[in-house]
Amino acid sequence: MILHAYCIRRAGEPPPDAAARGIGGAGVAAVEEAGLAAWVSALDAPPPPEPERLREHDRVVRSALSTATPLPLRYGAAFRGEDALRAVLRGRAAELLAALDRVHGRVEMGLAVGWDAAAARERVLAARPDLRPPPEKPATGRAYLESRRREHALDAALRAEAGSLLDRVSRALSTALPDAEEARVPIPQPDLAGTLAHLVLREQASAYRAAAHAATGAVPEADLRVSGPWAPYSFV
Amino acid sequence: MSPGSELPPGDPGWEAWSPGSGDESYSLVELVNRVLDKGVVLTGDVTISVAGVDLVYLGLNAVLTSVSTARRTLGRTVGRDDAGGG
Repeated sequence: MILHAYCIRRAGEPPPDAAARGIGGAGVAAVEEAGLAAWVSALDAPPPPEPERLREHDRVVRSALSTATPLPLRYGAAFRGEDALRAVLRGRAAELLAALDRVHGRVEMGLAVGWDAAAARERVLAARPDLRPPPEKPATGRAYLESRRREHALDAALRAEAGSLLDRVSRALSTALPDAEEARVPIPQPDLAGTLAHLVLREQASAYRAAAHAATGAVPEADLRVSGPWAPYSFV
Repeated sequence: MSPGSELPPGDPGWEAWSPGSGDESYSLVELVNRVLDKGVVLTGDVTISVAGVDLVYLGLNAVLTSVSTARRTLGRTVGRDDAGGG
């Protein structure tokens, strides 16, 4: 039997709903220590990182988010018993309470920035024809090394192009939300230039969507998709 | 299916919006990258198993990156219980 931990909040904040279900349908309870409350489920074994388990984990974190912003825990924290969990909470209480202060009243909003990666590649190659891959497979060691150098340089140029697009989207958003803290979430999808995350006040979630909508006009080549509110995964 | 419909209807505050044609896989990929790659690292005394990860429902690149991070992060925890996958 182990305790799988989902998130941490302040002791005294609303506890998990009695009907709440976590990983594999397990009940969710709060373990309070040192002014903190960790939301946990007792499981037979550590859960594997499967999609449905990750959803169940986040669902519990979201249920906490509905009443007060928690510190979401990275999936995988599990303890052999309450004593082990309490010891960790005691040892890190000051740090965790400070982090709770920092995210208090805030939520994370996400903005996936889609792009036409093939068109971006052609733009880069138009500006840097020297990076175009050779038409034939390299026949010599020297030619192979040269082709690898070109590949790396092209990758770097594409990353810079993606970064530039993210910068433009970020600037467009910051006009409407100048105080929002920003993070970049690396998501290796070929059709994504990247994903931005912003920590905003709860009441700004709608304004965030409106700002993203306005950004599509300012940066028309970006295909923007808003997600959230999330617990502040990218800011803790 | 919208990203929101992957989550229970009772999830308070969850909304998703896209001005374009959209791709609902963003939702799962974003979830994976947050839950496995972000959040407070609270080192427990037992780790998840990263062996036998079910790749079927995930974007391959996304899960490989995330699981790679999970291996690096969780492989250092004490008293590992993972089934030789780390």
